[in-house]
Amino acid sequence: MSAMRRLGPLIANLAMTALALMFLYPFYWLIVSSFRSQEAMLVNPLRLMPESFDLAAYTSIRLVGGVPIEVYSFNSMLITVLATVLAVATTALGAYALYRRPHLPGFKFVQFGFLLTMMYPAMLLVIPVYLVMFRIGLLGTYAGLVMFLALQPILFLMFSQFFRSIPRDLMDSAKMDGASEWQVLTRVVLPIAQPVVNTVFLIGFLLNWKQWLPILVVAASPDRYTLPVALLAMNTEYGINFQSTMALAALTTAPIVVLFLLTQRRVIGGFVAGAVKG
Amino acid sequence: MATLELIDVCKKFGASAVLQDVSLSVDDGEFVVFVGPSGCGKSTLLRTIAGLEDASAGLIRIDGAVVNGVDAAKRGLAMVFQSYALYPHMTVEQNMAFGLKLARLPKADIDARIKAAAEVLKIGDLLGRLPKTLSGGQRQRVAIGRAIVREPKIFLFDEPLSNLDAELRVQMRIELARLHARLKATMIYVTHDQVEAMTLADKIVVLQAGRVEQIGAPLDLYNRPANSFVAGFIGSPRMNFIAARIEAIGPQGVRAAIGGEGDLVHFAVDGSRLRIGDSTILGIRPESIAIRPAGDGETTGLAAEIILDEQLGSGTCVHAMTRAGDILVSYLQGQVPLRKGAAVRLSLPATACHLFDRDGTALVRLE
Amino acid sequence: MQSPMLTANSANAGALQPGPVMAWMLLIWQHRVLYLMLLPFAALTLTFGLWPIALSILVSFTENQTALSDAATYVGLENFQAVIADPEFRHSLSLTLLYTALSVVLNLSLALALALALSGPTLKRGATFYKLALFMPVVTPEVATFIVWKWMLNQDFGAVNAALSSLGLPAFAGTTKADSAFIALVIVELWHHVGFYTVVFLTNLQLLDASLDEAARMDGAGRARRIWSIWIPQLRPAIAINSLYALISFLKTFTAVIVITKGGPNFATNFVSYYAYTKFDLAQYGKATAMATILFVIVLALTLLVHLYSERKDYR
Repeated sequence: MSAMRRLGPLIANLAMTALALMFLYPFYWLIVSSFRSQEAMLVNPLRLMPESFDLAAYTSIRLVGGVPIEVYSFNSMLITVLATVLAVATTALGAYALYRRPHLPGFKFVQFGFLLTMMYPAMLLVIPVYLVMFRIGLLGTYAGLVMFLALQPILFLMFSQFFRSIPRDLMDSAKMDGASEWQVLTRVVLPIAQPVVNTVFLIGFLLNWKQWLPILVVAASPDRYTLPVALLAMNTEYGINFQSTMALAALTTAPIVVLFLLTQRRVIGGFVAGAVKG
Repeated sequence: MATLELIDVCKKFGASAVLQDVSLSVDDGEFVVFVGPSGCGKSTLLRTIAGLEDASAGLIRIDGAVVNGVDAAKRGLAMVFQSYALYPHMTVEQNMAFGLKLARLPKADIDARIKAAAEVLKIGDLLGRLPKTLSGGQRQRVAIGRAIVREPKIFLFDEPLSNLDAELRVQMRIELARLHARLKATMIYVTHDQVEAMTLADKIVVLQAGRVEQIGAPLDLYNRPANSFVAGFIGSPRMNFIAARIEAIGPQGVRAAIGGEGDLVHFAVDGSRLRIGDSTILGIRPESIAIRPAGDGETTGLAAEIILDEQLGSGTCVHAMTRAGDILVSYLQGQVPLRKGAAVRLSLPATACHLFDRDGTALVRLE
Repeated sequence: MQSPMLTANSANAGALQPGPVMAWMLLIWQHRVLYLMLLPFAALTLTFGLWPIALSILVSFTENQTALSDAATYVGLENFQAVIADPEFRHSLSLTLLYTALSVVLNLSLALALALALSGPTLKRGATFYKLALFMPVVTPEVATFIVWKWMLNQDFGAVNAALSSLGLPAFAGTTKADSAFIALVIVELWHHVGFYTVVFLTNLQLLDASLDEAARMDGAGRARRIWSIWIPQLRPAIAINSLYALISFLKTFTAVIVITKGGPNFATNFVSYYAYTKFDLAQYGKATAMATILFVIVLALTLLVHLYSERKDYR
């Protein structure tokens, strides 16, 4: 019995560790493969360390589809940061207004419209968005991309959830102290919300970095592509450029992995907060 | 310092009416308490006065000027919340200064006011602390301090003591009474606790289901409740109610039968709206019931048996059941040797009895 | 202090009953700051949400050639009839539903099991690492990780078959055969999503009312019994929200298909969203948007169903 008591947890931990490593393995395989040639992979696909750190793939992706990799990286950074800033600003204000007075004329309509948008198949929404962009003259522009990406359901849910957790008395109290609605937000709610704003920003960044379809469709030419879109374009040439594809995939993934490792507690907590029923 | 007047104020949330035709006037410097069971609309009424809710109909006047539609921020009132609602990211001093800074008061004035209020409330050494490091009682003081520095036209209190433990509650109640005496400000106070209402108020407004049941000075409500609801709500232990059937009506009052044995009791009330045979309700406060051991050929009063005795030390609460099955509570001063099972006689002095008609409305006393 | 409209009204005191339109405008004016706050968000939702959705639904009623022109020809339900009559669409729809059902069940049950395991004291020490490993696929760009999976599933130099053969197990056909391609997508998407559902369950487990569990223990209930009768019923809201998220996300499965299988082999993974996308690529706009609309209605109906279920049985 006592042997079982000691063995049980050990086995459980071993099994869980094995599962965790299986979940992480694709990332490891990605990094290792980006340093190994296609021929070496054919000989031994499971090798844990590359034979040599062959940087050929990384030099080969200086130009992808005729566009320098720096352009894709710049686009990724620019579009992700701007879209996230815009997303945080608009959803924070919008969620706050909807939370403060959900019954004002028109407010329910906006909330409901937003929920509908969440449910519409995103990849199919992109197509009519193309038409809308065309009509308002934003096709192929950074502005158009940034504005479309700023509409992020989970960010809205995170803010809604947070605002609901603030005692209503606090805002009423500020009103009684003579604060205008704007001052209630800037002097009382936002200072309290600072950690949440940071988390939402972080998650918005992670999510926007991943985006590819809207950019692929709305961007008029490859010089507006971001890293994931360039990667996808490369992927369509199946089997030709395994090592380069891995190198580009590694470049696309690495910043996110690092960012996530540095902020994992906050990121996981934030995702969950957006998914708690309220 | 201000007067307040409400005229037929109504408040509806969707289809349900939370306040119905509430009218009342508050004089300058008066301490008015809204009291009633939970859900009676007292907090909504306070919030409507504050401007945190919009009245669906009716007028609200502060110092004679209509304030319907005026933003809460601009009514010049201050409110102390049940949850204290201190800004968690500000120190005590910043909490108190917040409203004054918004009003763009000069720094020197702000400091002077905070200093004065802190002295009155004995929170001078807490000024640099954050709310989360304070005890419940300290938070309460800060919340009150935040209201005082504003020098508002009217102070509004929304159940400010209900989150404190019993001992602190009594202490803060006394301090609030002193504060009112000192500031001579108009104050409106919401509570569900009739003891707070009785001890603090110049004027009590009893609310039930969104309607005003009675408005009056504490002892007026105690002595002359307008209906059985107010009679039952004000006073502790609660007033006893038993059925009474009208047997005779005359110019001097009415006679009614109680207790199933046909004991007739005379009431000096206006019986002109009654008819013989009407069922009414007799109300009598526990401290008005006299109780004697049965026996010795004693025949006056209601025969009853003690089913429970609560010894409180300073007094004794005796629950007695009449032969008709009514349970009457009697409160006696001191330690009374009446125990469960004892047979007793209860006498209900006619002058202390209240008679209510079938709707619960008190019958007018003949003086 | 007071708006002029109000003073006018208060003149005839006691009758503060402005007309409904006036009251409406007054309300909006009073809360103009909130309207301004909502404006950017509302504008984005309208421009990039409702307008394109409306447009998409409109296009589903037009004839393909004229769909995008200013003088579109409306053909009523013709596109819908054509789509429903298309055997490949029906096949695609049933594939999508099967895939969704399978994925929702697998994801939620694995997530629940993992969350129950991770919430206990046994795995406490490594919990942060385990959570991190499970959650990493959720946040990393799926275009990249799905490409990795595609290559790992490759028969010649993929890690999956190399590992299977080194364990003496039969080879997995990966994306080359119909059944295995379908299964491969289920597995890859499980890897991608399960961490999210797990941490949602885990967080909710940590919020459970401990006194209920203690009461059940006093009543002599064993661990399995308590999990089944005490914990899982309390997790109902979390199950509802996870089901909702999973339903919406799996019904719309797209990135995995376009990266890994491209709908093949032999249409075995030709899910509705991908099929609609290919129709769009072929400039069959009417049909593409008709399919999108059908999928949208299904998502809407299922969401409503889950919502009703969770509201009705919400006994918190």
